[in-house]
Amino acid sequence: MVTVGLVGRGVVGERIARRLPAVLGDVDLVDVDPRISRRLPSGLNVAVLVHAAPHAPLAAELLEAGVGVVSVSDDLGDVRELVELDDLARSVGVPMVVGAGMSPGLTELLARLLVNRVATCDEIHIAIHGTAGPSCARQQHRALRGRSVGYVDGSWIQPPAGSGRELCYFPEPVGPYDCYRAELATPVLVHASFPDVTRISARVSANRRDRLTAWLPMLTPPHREGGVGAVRVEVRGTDDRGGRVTLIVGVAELVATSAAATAIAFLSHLATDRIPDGVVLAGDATLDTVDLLRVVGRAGVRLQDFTGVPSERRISANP
Amino acid sequence: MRRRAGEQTSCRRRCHERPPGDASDGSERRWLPCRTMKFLRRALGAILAMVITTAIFRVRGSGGIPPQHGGWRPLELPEQ
Repeated sequence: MVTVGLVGRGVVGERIARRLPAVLGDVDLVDVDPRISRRLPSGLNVAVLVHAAPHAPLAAELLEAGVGVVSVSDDLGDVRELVELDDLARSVGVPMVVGAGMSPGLTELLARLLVNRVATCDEIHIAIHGTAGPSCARQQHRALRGRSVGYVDGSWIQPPAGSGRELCYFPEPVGPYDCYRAELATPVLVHASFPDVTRISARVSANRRDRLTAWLPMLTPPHREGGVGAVRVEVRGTDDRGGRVTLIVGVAELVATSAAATAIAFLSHLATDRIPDGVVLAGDATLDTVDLLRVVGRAGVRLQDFTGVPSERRISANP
Repeated sequence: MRRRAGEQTSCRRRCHERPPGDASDGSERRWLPCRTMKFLRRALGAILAMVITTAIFRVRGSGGIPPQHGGWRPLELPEQ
C-alpha cells in the first residue's frame, strides 16, 4: 500500500485522483492542503504537487519530512528553486521529480525517446498548445510577457516573449497554430537533461489578442478547463551514416489529462523505487523512458509520430 | 490647329462645363473633375483585371495534388 499526498484539487488533481488507482492499484490517496493546515499527514510515502506555483517551499518541507515529491510546476523561477533542492533531497535520501506535467514533463520524455533514436542530436524544439485549469491559463498568460529563454549555439538567449513566430503543426484535431517564444521552464530542464544539444527552444500557441493583452491582467476569467491541447517535440540530428534526420512526435489530448498521466507515470515509478534519490528531471537518461511512456499511454494519452512526407533528397555527410 | 482667344484650354475647365443642352435649365448639378474620373477609371480597370486574372486561375488551375503520404500515426514504442 502506497500513501500518496495530493496537493491541489484543480482539474489536474481531480484527474490524478480518478485515474491513479487504475494504474497504481493499491494506493491510499490523501488530500494535503497547506492553506488549511501546515501539518503534513503522517505516513506519506510520496506527494504530488499539482497546485498553482510556487511549489518550492512546500517541496522543501516535504523533503525534510522524508517524503518523495513529484512536482508539475512550470513556472521558470519556481522550477529553478526546485532544482536547487537537489542537495537536500540527496541528504535525506528521497527522490524529487521536477517537471512532471505536460510541459515540462511529457515533452522531455518524448525528447528522450527521440534522442535515443538518432546517433547525434543537436536541436530540440518544443511547441505547446492549450491550457488545463485556470491556474495553468494564468501561468500561460504570464509567460507571454517578460523574457523567454532559449539556448542557441552553446549560449543562453533571452528574446522578448511573444516574439519568434513559427507555424507549428500539431496532431489532429488541433492542427496548425502560430507559436511564439514565452517565459517557459522547459528549455532550462531540457538543457539540464541534454547538455550536448546546441539549440533548444520552446514555444506556446497564441493569437493576436493573447499577445496584445499579455502585459495586462487577464481581462476575462479563464475557463474551468481549456479544450483539447497538444504538444509537439522535434529533434534534429544525424543518423548512423551521418545523414541529417528530423524526428517529430506529438500528443493531442486535454492538457489536464496529459499532465495527470505524466504525473501518474512518475508516481508509479517512484512508488516502486525506480527513481534515484535527489532531483530527477523527466528527460534524465537514468529513467526508463519507454516504460514511463507506456504508463502515460495506459493513463489515456495517445502518443503520435509524424511520418512526414517522403522525399528522395537526403542530405548526407557521407555520400 | 490654332485656338481662338478666350477659348478654354484646361482639361479641368472643360469638365466643369455644362453638357450641351443643359446650359439654360439653371440647375446646380456639378461635374466631377477630369483627374478624379481618370483615377476612378483606372481603379475600376485594375479591379476588373484582377477579377479576370483570378477567375482564370480559379477556373483553369488544377489546385495541385495534396500530399498522399505522411501525417500523424500512433507511436509504436520500442520493445524493452
